[in-house]
Amino acid sequence: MSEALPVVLPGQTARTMTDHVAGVALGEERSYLWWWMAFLPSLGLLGLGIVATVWLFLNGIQIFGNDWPNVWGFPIFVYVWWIGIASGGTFISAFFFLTRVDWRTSINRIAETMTLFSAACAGIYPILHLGRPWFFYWLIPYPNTMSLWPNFKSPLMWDFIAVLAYIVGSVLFWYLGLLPDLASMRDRTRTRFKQVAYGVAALGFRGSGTEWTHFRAVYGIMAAIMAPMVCSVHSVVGLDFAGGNMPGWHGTDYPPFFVFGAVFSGFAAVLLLIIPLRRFWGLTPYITERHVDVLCKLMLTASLCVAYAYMMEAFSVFYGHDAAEITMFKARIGGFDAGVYWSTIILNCVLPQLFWFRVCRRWVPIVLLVGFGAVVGMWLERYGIVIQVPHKTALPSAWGVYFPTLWDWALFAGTCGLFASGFLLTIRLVPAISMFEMRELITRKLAR
Amino acid sequence: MIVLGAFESEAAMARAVARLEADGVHGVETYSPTSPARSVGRLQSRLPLVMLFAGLVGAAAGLLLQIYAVTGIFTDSLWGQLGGGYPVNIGGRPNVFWPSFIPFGFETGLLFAMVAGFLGFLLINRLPRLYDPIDESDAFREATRSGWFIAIRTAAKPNHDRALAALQASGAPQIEEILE
Amino acid sequence: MTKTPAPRQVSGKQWRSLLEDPDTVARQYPVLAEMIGHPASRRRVLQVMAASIALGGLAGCDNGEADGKLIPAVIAAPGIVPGRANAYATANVVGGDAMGITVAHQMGRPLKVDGNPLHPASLGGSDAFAQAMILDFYDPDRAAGIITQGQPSDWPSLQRVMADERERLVRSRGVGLRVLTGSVVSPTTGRTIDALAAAYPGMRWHQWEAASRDTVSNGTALAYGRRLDVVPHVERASVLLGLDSDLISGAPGHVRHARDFAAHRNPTRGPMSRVYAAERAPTLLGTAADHRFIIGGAEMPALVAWLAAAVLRGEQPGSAPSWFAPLVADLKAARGGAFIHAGPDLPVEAQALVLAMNEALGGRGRTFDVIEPVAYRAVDFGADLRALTDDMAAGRVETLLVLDTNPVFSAPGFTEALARVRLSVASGPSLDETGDAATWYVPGAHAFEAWSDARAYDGTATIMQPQAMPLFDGMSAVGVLSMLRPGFEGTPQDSLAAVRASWTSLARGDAWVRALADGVVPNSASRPAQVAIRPEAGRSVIPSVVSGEALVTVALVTRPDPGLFDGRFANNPWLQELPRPLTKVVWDNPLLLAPGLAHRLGLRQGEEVEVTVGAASARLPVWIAPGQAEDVAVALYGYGRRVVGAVGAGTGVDVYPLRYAAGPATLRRTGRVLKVATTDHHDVLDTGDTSDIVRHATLADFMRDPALLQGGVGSPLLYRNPPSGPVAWGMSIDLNSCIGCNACVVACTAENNVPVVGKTAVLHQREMHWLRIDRYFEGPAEKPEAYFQPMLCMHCEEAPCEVVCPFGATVHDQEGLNVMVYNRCGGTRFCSNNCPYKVRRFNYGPYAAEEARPVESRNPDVTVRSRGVMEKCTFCVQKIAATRIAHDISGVAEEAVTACQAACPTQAFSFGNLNEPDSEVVRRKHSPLNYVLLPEQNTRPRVTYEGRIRNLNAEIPA
Repeated sequence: MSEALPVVLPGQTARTMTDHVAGVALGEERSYLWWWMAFLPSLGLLGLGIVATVWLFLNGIQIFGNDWPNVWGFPIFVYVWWIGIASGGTFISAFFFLTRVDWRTSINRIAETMTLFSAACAGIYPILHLGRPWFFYWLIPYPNTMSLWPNFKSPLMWDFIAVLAYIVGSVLFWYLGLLPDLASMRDRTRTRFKQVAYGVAALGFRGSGTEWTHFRAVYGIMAAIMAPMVCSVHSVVGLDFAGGNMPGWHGTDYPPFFVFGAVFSGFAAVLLLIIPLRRFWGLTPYITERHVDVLCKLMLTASLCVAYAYMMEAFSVFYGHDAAEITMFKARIGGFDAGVYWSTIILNCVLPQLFWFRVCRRWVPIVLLVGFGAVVGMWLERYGIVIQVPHKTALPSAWGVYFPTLWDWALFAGTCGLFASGFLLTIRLVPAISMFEMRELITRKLAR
Repeated sequence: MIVLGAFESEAAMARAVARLEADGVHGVETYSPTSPARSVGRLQSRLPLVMLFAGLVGAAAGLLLQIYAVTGIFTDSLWGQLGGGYPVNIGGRPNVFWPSFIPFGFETGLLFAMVAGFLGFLLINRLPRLYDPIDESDAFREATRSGWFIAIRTAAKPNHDRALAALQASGAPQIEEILE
Repeated sequence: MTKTPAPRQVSGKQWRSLLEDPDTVARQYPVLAEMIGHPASRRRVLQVMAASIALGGLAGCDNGEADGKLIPAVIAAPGIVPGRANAYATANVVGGDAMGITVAHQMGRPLKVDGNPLHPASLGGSDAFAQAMILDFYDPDRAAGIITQGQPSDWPSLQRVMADERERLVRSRGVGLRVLTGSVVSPTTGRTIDALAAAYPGMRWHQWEAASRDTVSNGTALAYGRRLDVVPHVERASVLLGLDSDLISGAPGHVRHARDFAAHRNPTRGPMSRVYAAERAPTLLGTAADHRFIIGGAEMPALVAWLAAAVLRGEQPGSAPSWFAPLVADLKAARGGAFIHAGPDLPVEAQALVLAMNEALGGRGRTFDVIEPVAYRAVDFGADLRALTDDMAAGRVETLLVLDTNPVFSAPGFTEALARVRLSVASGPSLDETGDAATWYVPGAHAFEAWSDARAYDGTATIMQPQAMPLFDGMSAVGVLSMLRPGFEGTPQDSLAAVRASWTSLARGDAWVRALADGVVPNSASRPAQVAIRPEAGRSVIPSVVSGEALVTVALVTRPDPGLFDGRFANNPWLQELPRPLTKVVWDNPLLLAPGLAHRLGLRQGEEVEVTVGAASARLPVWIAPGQAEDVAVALYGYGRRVVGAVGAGTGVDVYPLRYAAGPATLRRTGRVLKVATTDHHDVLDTGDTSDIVRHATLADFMRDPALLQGGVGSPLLYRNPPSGPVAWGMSIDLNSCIGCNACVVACTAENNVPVVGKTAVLHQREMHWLRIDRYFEGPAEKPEAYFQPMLCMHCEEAPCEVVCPFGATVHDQEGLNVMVYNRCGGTRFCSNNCPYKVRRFNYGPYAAEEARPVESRNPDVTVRSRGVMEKCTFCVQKIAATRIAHDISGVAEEAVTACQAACPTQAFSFGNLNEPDSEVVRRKHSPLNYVLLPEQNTRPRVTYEGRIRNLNAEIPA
């Protein structure tokens, strides 16, 4: 049935496509009004985040709502949420590169850029959440006069190296894939400044046969590395919890459970990004309804995986018959903030079932609604895991509840601002679509 | 001198390359807006092997670093001067608690492979190279949009003439000569 | 932060810095303070104050000689070795109850209080008040000079006034001169007052204690014909009945009684006593009792009458509850070993009946003795004060000297009467309501700053030696008194001379020095009084009490706050933030209501009610107290101080007016909901499905199956790397002994520089206590069993916290200590997440830096933690290090005593080397009651518990 929907609308050539996509990034598009309308508020949010960070450094994390049972609170669950979204982007660009799926080509740049900035948001949170953030570099295993090393047995240490490797890998993967397009930009632009800027950024890539040979080899291997890496990074995030022994966290199902959730929110986030982008920048010939359709189906698949994980979570609680876990779980599904749990179920498991129906996959408001619901749903799921689980631990004397403060929200808004402004700026300055791969798709596959 | 030939399509360019090869012309390089189907044909990238090797080195280094840090096996040696290991009882686990060393070693392996791939790509292609005489050709800008080019770098005059002739013979619609 | 609408009057505003007024700060930044959830204004104020306090007189203050000269710190005083603590004996007197203590000094600075093992009221144990003394001593808010009419004044001005006054008094032979003191158990102070009275025949001496035990002493007067003191010998009681009893929580000698009580509570260490408690509101004795009966306010007199009828006359009351007959039978069967203790809440007649019953049960000379009062002059405080206020109001008092008591805050009608006194001079260690209202305030010496003496509950005397030169120029009580003496020459009487004059018996040889060193004057305990009980005592009739009829009318029970006592400790942050034993409330005094009553009235936790008794009323938040009788409401007095330092300002509500009003209390909902800070953050009745926390059983079951409470030490381990050192530190905590008194909590705070965080931070659940006492309820809300469980770092051999720290900031040492390396801590807080016992505490803010205490008051052996650092119990590693050093020097066995263990009045803690087979801790760990908390976590903790055994009477239906 998907054959009815082309990956690229007819009438596109390598030339027209390149001119169009590069033109957008070069400022030749008719109107950037919508871009400014999105970018300026994002900058505002980013500013708020900077204010929150300064205030945080001045006062310490007492400005947050963290308390005794909830020592992690907002920063960590939002971190998990961001890294989950990031994973979805890498999943699309790496996995579907390896499987040679043709629809991947038009959205991988958007997905990877999304990954980059959500990983950046994720990367700063664990540092900011530290009691003494200026000592975060102690996590780096470097020789020092005190012969002190980080504790490699700690899941947080794994987390540090996994996120570091993931961010470095994502940047390299993204940048390597960007080189040919930067070269296109260098050659398309007419202003000296842009020529120099894009020329420097392109590092002198000219599309020689040698370059292409190595490029193809390295890019393929990188994709092959990023695919397990994206699984490992979110598994390790899952191990941050499963490695602990808090009732409700200590489960072997956590790593895959986290990966499911991550790609689910990642697919949803990509959907939320491409739908307005294709509309506003006229990218509909390249990002077609086919893409929306495919992403919807992927979301549905991920949603089923997530639903399975939720079922297993509930099952193992009652099957395991650990009193503390049962108390905790009962509080999650029936406590004062049980709405979080049930909203999670509705948004992550029930709502995506709409995508069984083609009409829902093609009707943009529904797609946006379900996609946004998934992003919010995953946010709530992480909230449930990081905030609700520690409410009730093994000893009732240490029970408690958690309420975020305005500063928690401010920093969260700040990371949203960082993501949005970073994403918008990047998508404004570099081609939103991987042009060289599109050229390959148009000239080779579609010509056939 | 560079002799630059522009082609309308990949197929045309590929035919020309085959022709030039058959003629025994040296210094032939293609330039294309997208990865050529079979490129110039002969070249096999060794970078995947480099990445594999770097990944293995990275994983081994990651594992060894952890063992070194928790046992201090080299503490008395020169390495010890850089900060020896420090065995401490952590949570009643053995010092070399290998199951928990795996994630770190795995990630360092991936990290090394990624970095090695990227740096290897730059090195092997001698990038960054911001200027190339070939940029002097205005038509060459098409190479990153929809133009297919063959460039022959010729060191001496006789070679140049031969290359020019061969390119003309291969049916290039446009031929340009660029001073190197 | 919510503040109760107590009238506030800032004394001396004119001359103190504006910044010191917490309200000012709150006014300046109210929105900000609310919005950011930042520790509220008070903490800021503390910071500002701490910076501004000069502690000039402190350094090198104690040179061991009383010549009044300061020795600069650079010249070591005799006997001072840097890094080694010296200890000096003295006593702590709270409301006429003296307990021997030792004060540990570092470089001449008093830093830690512990019980004096040689003193009968302590035997080495102590209570929260004694442990918290240090902070009172260093309280920067004490730094007030001489004040008159709210203005700072000076010594010469006071001298001029006093000279005129002496002239007048000499002329009038002291007519119109009154001296008002607290309860005086100091022979020296008593003698000094008597001497003054001899010089001025017209003078009269009054005494006032707000937390009085008038009913008890009047009861003895009724029963024996004169005022006497009863000395219980709890260790000899095999059957104990407490009636609203404060035997182990507040009665004179309660620390000793707690020790004796606990001696027979563990069946593995000898025969177990049986303890009954009948009470309107839970007490520590009731919580520790085997049987606890909740008695309505109206039923209590009837119960005492029934008991008297049954015990004295063998009658069986018809309508008594089913447990009554077995209880009486048990008491009678234990003749000679039975003891009934009535708390001061019971009326005089009930006290007399209880005394008669105790005599009838053959307890005299066995379970109790009767001695002449230890007070220098025993009085009925209420009557005594009433006489004074009447005279004041009638204008018969011209000159009033108030010493170490605060009647303006705590006594009825005193403030109005004081206005009619021409010259009033108040003196106390810190400026309080009375000092503020009096015409003159003279700073008094803290107990650590002057010589004195005190007699304990059994008459044993202690010479109280000063621990330091006065920090803030305080004057001793005898010094203040001497100002009025005819012929005063400008130098206040030397307190040392006065004390030596009282103890001429110690003049010979080294008796004086020995008495000082021991903290006990030999053979000073009182002999039993030879007085027979009057037969009328057993025929006393208790007047019926008012009680609740309508839903909203209850009987109000007022008790001293377990932290602030009568209000005198209001400026002590350790005691303010001390979780009250059963409610775990801090920084506040809510009205305690039974769950059923609160439910009927539709009142939720924290909802504000207006309590009206007669003409007096107060607005208090409600706190639901399981196990309380439904027709009473309990209000804790001591809060709501109006003239107090920065710590106590704005905390709680003054309920003294309610205490002195007569009649039933009416509750009216105001509609406001207040935030009451508690360290018990979950719903009070919700303990979920987790039941294996405090293991407990009945004695009968335990006898049948001694291994009943055992089982579950964890499953086999795949990996093992046990600590390898020659010493293995471990601890065993006996839940049968723990009475929840909190001495250990304050001791830990004092020893380990644990910061106080303030009410707002506690509301955020960020309290810092390394050692907490968990209180669990079990059973129905109306009538639950309550269990105490001290909770501290378990020092797990398989510590989950260590594995997850990415910095390696918490690791294990070879002796089995779970070590926290503050310097290495980055503050990921994963360790706290991973601690199943949740004993780790995180410095969310710069709590230590914000504390008002001078740096000199901190334990120099313990690192002060900064913002962003995790901390927890170290097993007092500094003490372990000291014992290790001692071992390395002289080869003595390594025996360390933790601060909690040292402070515990009941020896619930035992700590030591697990590799020493005959150590106490190993013996206890081999007890059949020994169990591991949360064994399924497989953490192999070095701390284990001994389960609680209840010696139930089989005749009493469950």
